[in-house]
Amino acid sequence: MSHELLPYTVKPHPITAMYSGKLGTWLFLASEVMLFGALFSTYILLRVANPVAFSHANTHLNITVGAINTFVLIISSVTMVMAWAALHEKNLGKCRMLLGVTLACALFFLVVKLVFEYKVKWDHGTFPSTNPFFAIYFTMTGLHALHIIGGIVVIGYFLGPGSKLYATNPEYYANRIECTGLYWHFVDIVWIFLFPVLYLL
Amino acid sequence: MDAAHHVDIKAHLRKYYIVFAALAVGTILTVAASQIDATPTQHVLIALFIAICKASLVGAYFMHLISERKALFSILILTVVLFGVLMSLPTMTHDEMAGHPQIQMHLTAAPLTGEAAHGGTATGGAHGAAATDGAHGGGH
Repeated sequence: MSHELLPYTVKPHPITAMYSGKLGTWLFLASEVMLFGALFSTYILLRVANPVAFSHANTHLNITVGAINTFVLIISSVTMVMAWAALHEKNLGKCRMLLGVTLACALFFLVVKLVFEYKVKWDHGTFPSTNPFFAIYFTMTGLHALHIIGGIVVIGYFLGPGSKLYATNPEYYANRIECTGLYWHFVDIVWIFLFPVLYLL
Repeated sequence: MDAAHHVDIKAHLRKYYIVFAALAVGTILTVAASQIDATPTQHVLIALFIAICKASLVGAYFMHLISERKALFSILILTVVLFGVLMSLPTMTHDEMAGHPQIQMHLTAAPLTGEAAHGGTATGGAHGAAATDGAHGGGH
């Protein structure tokens, strides 16, 4: 019944050669590229207009904390793709364990961001209104953090109640995990650019 | 058939470990490169080169773009082109601003509000001073 309502959830569409969920996820990611692209464009505009302010301001960011979070996101990306691979080995237990590690990494990233970065800055009276650098810093990292929270919700769902789907339709579940992975890897890619741009340059 | 599939997954996992190691090394290189003595332009180029390499590895292997069908690339090519347009907008705007110094002054001076603008705390004050320098630098 559900297969009729939403076709090509498992088998690839004859024209796109992809199942519907994957095509939809890629279209969504294309729109996300535009969203973050607009912010990166704004960053360049502000940096060109405030060269000295930007070169001074980012020295107040903690590179060690940023680098640790980069490693954590890389680890979470690997565990996410391995969770998908585990489903192809027909091993739901391993998949759930790896999704759990991914979820833990995401939570760790958020806690580090909030406690060791945002809170420290707020305690020092540094807010988005402080100067153009911190305006774009809080906007970009804040939006990225919202994406992390979105990922936590989706991964948490497929780790918990969503995993029941595996019993009835394992291929459909594997496809859903693959789409979640595509989103999660995109979030990782955004951070790969945010880290040097905001912390190091 | 099952054995071949199992070998295929093993090969995938091996690639994931290699990509993970490359991403870790890339992150260390990014931080190390930012500490070397170079011009700001060189720093930007090095950091962007490493970031693009890392993003390509994630896209190619973790997002399986290396084995995707052609249809997907028509979406991605359009995205890349539009992203390129977005990135070129500040360059065009900057040329516009060069002829209108009041716009540039507005961009640099206007956001200086809050604690930093009023002396604020040590950190905020430092940023405020830096931003003011920037306003002068940009204004001229």
